[in-house]
Amino acid sequence: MTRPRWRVLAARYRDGLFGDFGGTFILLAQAPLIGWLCTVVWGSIERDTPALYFVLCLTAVWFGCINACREIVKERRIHERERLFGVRGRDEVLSKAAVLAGIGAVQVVLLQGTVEWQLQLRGPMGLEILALFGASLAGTGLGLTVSALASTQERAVFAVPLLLLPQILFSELAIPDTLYSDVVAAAEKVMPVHWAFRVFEESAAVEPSWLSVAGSLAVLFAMACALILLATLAIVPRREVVT
Amino acid sequence: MKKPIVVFAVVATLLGGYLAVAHVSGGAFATFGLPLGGDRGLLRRTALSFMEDIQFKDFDRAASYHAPELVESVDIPFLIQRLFAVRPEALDIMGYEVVFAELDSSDLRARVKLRVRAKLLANERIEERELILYFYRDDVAAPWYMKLEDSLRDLTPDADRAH
Repeated sequence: MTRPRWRVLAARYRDGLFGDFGGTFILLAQAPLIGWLCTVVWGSIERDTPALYFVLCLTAVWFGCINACREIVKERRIHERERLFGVRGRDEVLSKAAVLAGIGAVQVVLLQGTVEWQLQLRGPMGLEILALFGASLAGTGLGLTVSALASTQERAVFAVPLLLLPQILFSELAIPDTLYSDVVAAAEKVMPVHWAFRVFEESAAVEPSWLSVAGSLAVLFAMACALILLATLAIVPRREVVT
Repeated sequence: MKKPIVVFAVVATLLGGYLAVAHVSGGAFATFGLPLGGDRGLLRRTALSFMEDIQFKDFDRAASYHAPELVESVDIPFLIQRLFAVRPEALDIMGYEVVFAELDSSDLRARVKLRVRAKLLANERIEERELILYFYRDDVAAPWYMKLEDSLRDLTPDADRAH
């Protein structure tokens, strides 16, 4: 029985990625480093606050987006050549998403673990890690979409702030949700950080609504799947890539 | 044959790594009942055990974490009343967790911060409070004792006080 094509591509991509030990180390080491910085800030008040939850959720989306934003465009020439031999875009995107999801999972465990080491957060740790994983996966989807649309690696990296800043702007961190206009309220609903943050906030509440937590998680993972699907569609048109 | 061995080795390594981290962190992560975490782990378990005693209104046992000569003088119900402004019987402690546990530089004093979630039965309101338990010991080989009596009323001068 032959292995699905995306798994062959994933194995190749994984070997290439982990072959660069220094790069992998930096990729993984940034998670506990940022977690430690969070404990320095929130350790001074010895308690967690909604702002900490927001920073964790934003960091997870950030990780996913940064990890993924160059990964298709940098191999686009190879993909265009392999396409002539029957490799489809969805195999390419799925192989990248699978490996990056694994890296994202390790990153969010390290991030959350470092914070929990110093400061026990309200709410179940496993659930919060799941929310961060969903946020990271959505970030990966965003990054892959950008990567599939970009013509150079530099342009893909430059586009990342355009994806991440709205996560902050359309959030309760910018202005209280009671002051939202209809547009802002609608825009907030399409931000992955918002849904991950809701999981944190709801599970930390004095009387948590687990139905709402489950709903937010479902939206988050549906959003991640939709973004990965979008990346698959974005890779369909043949593209000349400047390397 | 080879694959199960590899899977077993990976699972064992991950589990061993996790338990090592749980130990080094001082029991900040779940230890599945294993006595890990050194002194900080022990203090966390003691604090949680103390809260469980309070949850089930076993005040004699809750007082037993103090030095033997102080056990008779501590008044746990008074602590509850001061913390939540209700009588112990009107309080349902629903949950509690350790926020952190730390030792001082001499390793002879320690404090454990807890988060307590309780329902005030009189008005059905759920409230959350933070509480710090202080511990001390005479030397590093001596047992830890709680130092709650400082914040509690001594029964001797006011033994007739009604809660």
